[in-house]
Amino acid sequence: MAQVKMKEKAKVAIFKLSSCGGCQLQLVDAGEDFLKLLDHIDIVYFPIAKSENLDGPYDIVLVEGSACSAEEIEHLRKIRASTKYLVALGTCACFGGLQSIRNFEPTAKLVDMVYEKPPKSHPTKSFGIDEYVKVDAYVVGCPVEPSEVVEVIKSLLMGVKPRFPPYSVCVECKLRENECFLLKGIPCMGPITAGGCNALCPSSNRPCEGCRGPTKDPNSKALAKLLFELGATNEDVRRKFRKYAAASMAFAGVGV
Amino acid sequence: METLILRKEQLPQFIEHLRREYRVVGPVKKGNLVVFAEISKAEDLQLDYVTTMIPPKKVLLPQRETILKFKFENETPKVEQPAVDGKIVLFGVHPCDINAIKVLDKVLIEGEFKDPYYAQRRENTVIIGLNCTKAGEYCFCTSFGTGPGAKDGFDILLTDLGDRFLVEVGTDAGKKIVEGFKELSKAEDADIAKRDEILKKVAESIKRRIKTENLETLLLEKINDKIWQELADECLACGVCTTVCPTCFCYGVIDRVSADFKEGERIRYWDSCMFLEFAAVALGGNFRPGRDARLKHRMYHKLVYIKQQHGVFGCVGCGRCVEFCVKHIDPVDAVTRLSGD
Repeated sequence: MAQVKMKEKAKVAIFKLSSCGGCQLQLVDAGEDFLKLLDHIDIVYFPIAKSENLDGPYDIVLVEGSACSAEEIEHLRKIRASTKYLVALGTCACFGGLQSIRNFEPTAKLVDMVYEKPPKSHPTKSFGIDEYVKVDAYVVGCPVEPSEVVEVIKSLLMGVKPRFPPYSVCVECKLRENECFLLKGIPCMGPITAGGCNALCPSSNRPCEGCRGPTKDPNSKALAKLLFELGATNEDVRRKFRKYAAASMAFAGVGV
Repeated sequence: METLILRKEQLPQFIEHLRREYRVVGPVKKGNLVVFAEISKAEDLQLDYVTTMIPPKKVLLPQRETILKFKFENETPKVEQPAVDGKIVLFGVHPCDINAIKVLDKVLIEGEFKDPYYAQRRENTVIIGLNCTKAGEYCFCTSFGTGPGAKDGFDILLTDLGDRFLVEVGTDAGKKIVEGFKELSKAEDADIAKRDEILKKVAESIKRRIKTENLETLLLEKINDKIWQELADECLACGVCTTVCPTCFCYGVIDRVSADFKEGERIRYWDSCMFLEFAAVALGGNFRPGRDARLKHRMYHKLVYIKQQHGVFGCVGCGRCVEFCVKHIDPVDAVTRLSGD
C-alpha cells in the first residue's frame, strides 16, 4: 500500500448508497478528533453535510450503504475508479445491512408488494459492497463507532492496516462486568458478533442484536443450537441472524 | 504465624485503618454479580460472596493500560512513563485467587523476564485473603490444593468464624498493619480448631475433581482424542473463559496516535489464545486456525505446558471458565472423560 503523502491534505469523499445516513453522521459525532483530522484531510464530497461538492479523483472514499439496484452498482463501480482507497462504512456496506432480508424472497415479488407502479431503477439483492468492488478497509456497526471512523482514516493516512478488536462483544461485556443474558436464558447475539462497541447494548440492559455483523471465525451453528435450547423457534433464529448481516457467509445459512 | 481475632463490629474501624494508607479494593455487589471495586467503607463489602466474574487480577494486570506516552516535537519523539498507581489493599481475596496471583508472580516476576508494570503494582499491593466458608457449584480447588483455605501467598488471612474473624499474619507488611490496629485480641486454640472444622466441611462439600496424578501423561496421550473436536463444535470461541480466568496473563500491545498525529500512547490489553488472531503471523499464516486447536491449547496450557515451564499448574479450580461459559465447557468433565472414569 502506498502511503498517502502527509505533506498535502488527503482528499476525502463520503458517498451514500441504500442506507439511513446514520453512519456518515457519526463522523461529525467524533467531535474534537474530527476537527483535528481536518488538519490532514480535505472533505471535498459530503453532500449530507456541505453544499459544495467536488468530483474525483479522491484519496479516500467512505461508502455508506449497500448497492440495491443496477444503477447503484454502476455508481459504486465509478466511485471505486475515482479513489485510491475505498472504505466500507457501516454494516450495510460491509454485510448488506437490514435491507438484505430481501435476499430471501424473489425480488420481483417484493417489488410488487412495495411499489404501486414499477420503479424507475432496477432493484437487485443487497450484499456487502465487496460483492462488486475491491474494498480496502471495513468499519462495521449500525451505526459505526465515531472513534473507529477516525481510526480508519488515521491508519490510511499513515499507510498502516487499521486494527479493530479481533474478538466478540462478549469480551467487552465481561470487562464491563455485566451479567450474561444467555446464562439468564435470554437470547443474545454477543458471542458471534464483532466487538468494538464496548458492549453498548448489554451495558444498557439490552441483549446484543448483532448489529456489527460476525466476529472473526464465529460459531453461528453453536449459538443457534443454544437459542433452540432456550426455546427459540426456527423462525426466531432466522430472524436474529438475518437482522443486520444476512448477506454475510457466517450468518446467511443459519436457521434455514 | 501470629493469629489474632477481629470482632465483626470492629470491621468498619479496621477498614478505616487500612484506608489511611491504602486504597481498598474488595468484593462489592453489582446487580446479581459481585465485582472487585474500590470501597470507601466496610458496609460496601459483600464478604459472603462465592466467586466474582472478573478476578482480582484486574488490579495487578489491568484489562487495558498505557505503558508509555509519546509526543512528537521537532521530529524527535519525547517519551514519558505514566505515573505508578498508589498503594492498594486487595481485601477479601479467596484462596483460589490468592494462588492465582502466585501463578502470575511466578510467570511475570520470578521467570526469566520480569514484567516491570506488573512488578511495580504487585510491590504496592497488600493481599488480605478470606478463607472460604462455602463452595460454589463449579468449584474444584481441592484438586490443586488451592482452597478452600489458603496456606501462603497472603499478607493477612481472614476466616469468618461467625461473630468474629480469625486473623492470620503472613508477611511483615501484614504484621505492620495489624500492629497499627491495637484493638485486635489474641486467638484461642479453639478459634483455630473452629477454622479447621469449617475448612474441612467446605472441602468435603466440593465434589468436582481433576485427578492431578499423571495428568500430564494422560493429556499428552489424548492430544488427538475426538473429544476436542466435540468440544470445539460447541465452543463459541468468544473468549469469555480466558477473560474471566485468574491466571491468564497473555496480552497484546498496540500503539495509538492522536487524530492530529502529534502524540500517542502504547497500550497493552488482555489478549486471548481463543481468538483466531492470537497465533496469526505475517503472510497470513496461523498456528492454530481451528477452534479445536485453540480450545485444546487453552486447557493444555493450564494443565500441562505451564507446569513444564514454571513448575505450577495454571489452573486453581475457581470454576469461572465453566460458570461463565454459555456452553459450560468444563475441564473437569473433559479430563474425567479422557481418563475413562
